[in-house]
Amino acid sequence: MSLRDKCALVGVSLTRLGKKISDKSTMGFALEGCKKAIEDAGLTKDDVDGLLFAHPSQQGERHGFSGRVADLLGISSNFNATVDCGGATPIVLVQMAALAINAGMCHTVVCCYGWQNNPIDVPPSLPPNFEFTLPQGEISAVPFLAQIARRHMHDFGTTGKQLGTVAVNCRKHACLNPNAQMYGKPITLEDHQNSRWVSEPLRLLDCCPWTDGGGAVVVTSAARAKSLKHRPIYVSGFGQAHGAPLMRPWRNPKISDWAVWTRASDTAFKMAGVTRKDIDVAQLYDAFTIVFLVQLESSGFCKIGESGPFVGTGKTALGGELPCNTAGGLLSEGHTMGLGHIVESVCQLRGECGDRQVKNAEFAFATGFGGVVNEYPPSFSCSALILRR
Amino acid sequence: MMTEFKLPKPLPTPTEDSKPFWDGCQRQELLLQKCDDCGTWRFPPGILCPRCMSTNSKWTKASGKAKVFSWQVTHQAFYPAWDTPYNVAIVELEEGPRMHSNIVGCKNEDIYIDMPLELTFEKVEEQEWYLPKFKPASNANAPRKSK
Repeated sequence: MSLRDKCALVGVSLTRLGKKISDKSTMGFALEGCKKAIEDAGLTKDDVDGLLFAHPSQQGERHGFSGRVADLLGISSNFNATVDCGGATPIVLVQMAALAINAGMCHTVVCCYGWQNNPIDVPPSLPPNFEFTLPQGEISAVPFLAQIARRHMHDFGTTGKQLGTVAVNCRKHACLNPNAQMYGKPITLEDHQNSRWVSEPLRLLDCCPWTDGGGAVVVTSAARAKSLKHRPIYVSGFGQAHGAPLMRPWRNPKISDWAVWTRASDTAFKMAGVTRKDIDVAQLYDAFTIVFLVQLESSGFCKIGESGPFVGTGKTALGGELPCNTAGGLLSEGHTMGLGHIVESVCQLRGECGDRQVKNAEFAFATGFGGVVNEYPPSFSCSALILRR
Repeated sequence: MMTEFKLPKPLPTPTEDSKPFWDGCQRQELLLQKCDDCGTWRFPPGILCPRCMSTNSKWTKASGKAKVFSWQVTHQAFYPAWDTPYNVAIVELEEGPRMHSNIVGCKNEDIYIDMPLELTFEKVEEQEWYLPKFKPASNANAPRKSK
């Protein structure tokens, strides 16, 4: 049984996004996101019977977080889970919602996210099990992605300026998005090239900002979606791929060989019954510029190794043949763990994007990418989603 | 750097599965599990072979020969225990597995992909802990002339 177009996204929301928003907790952002998304769908909380939450790691053990979100919303749900696939999670939540709805477990699921970077109730601490990275000085995702960038440059001749083009495109788009964290702060390629090294070869402007904020999306059955406030945005195809190929050389000799991730998008395109050429607008996970490039390759929009020249010709900017990250992406809209990519896909297909609207957009593609890079082996998850109006 | 505040250098926190690896390091031996059934060397330590799922393996001394797979130079330390800039490399051991380590005995700008390396051990400051590190092998390219 294909799940193509069996479910729809009917409500979406993002809260205010910013580097330091001190009036809400992680829970507070999640709840605000849920409320706004339920209202956007024209539903009440009593219409919701499922709740999924993208897990906020590194803020202490938060057992049963999704249950608490549901209780604080006043929902008695039939389907709940707190999920952690790093930056792949929000898209994974939409997929889980579609599976559960089609299995008859529930009919309407809110998938939410919230994040307070500086929670006043959790003292800063280092999680355990970093034995193979922390003593060596490898901390956070930046250095690992810098090593991937270095290898990509070595294998394919990718340049720092091509990375910079990704950052500049995202910023241009964010400047057309009043809710973006970097709205009103344009940058040039020179600004990128002059920004300081964080983990060489990645510069400050290769990295997304710290973002406090949250949001949610509401998934329901296609049948139910037809009578709601907005035109339904159908979940046409989805897929996932997981693994740690970079540290398993007998499986995959090159760090830049992202063949494993291609399974996620191949599965999604097969389910949706469309091809890459049908995609009008794409939101590719971009916590770092190099992640955007490898997502472009592993999603099959260009050949492995050719993403640098691909972005260099302007194809991924608004007005290009594959406009990407039209709200600014994680790099400039803000790090919403990729939830923003789903929200923007829906808004583009609804035609609500104003100055950054891709004309007549019918099919949208989004990816999530994440994992734990400090624990061993550094393992990644990739998720892909195809939506249509 | 403005930040003079320093934290002590963090030490490994071995698990039940990784303890033999770290015990080996303290004797200045790089021990990896080698699968008794398919012969695959593995890292990180684990109770079974991720290639054939066999649980039979022996901790076996690695040759110490390796090469640079990739590396980065940290300029902003998210955990302020080291002087910046410093390098962290992914090294590929002759036996196959890759691991994170530091290249010592050469300047950051002299590191290159595929640079031949050999194993060494360094003590973490005054603490009784040895970490495996790598230095350029005798057949590595000569360092660049300093400016």
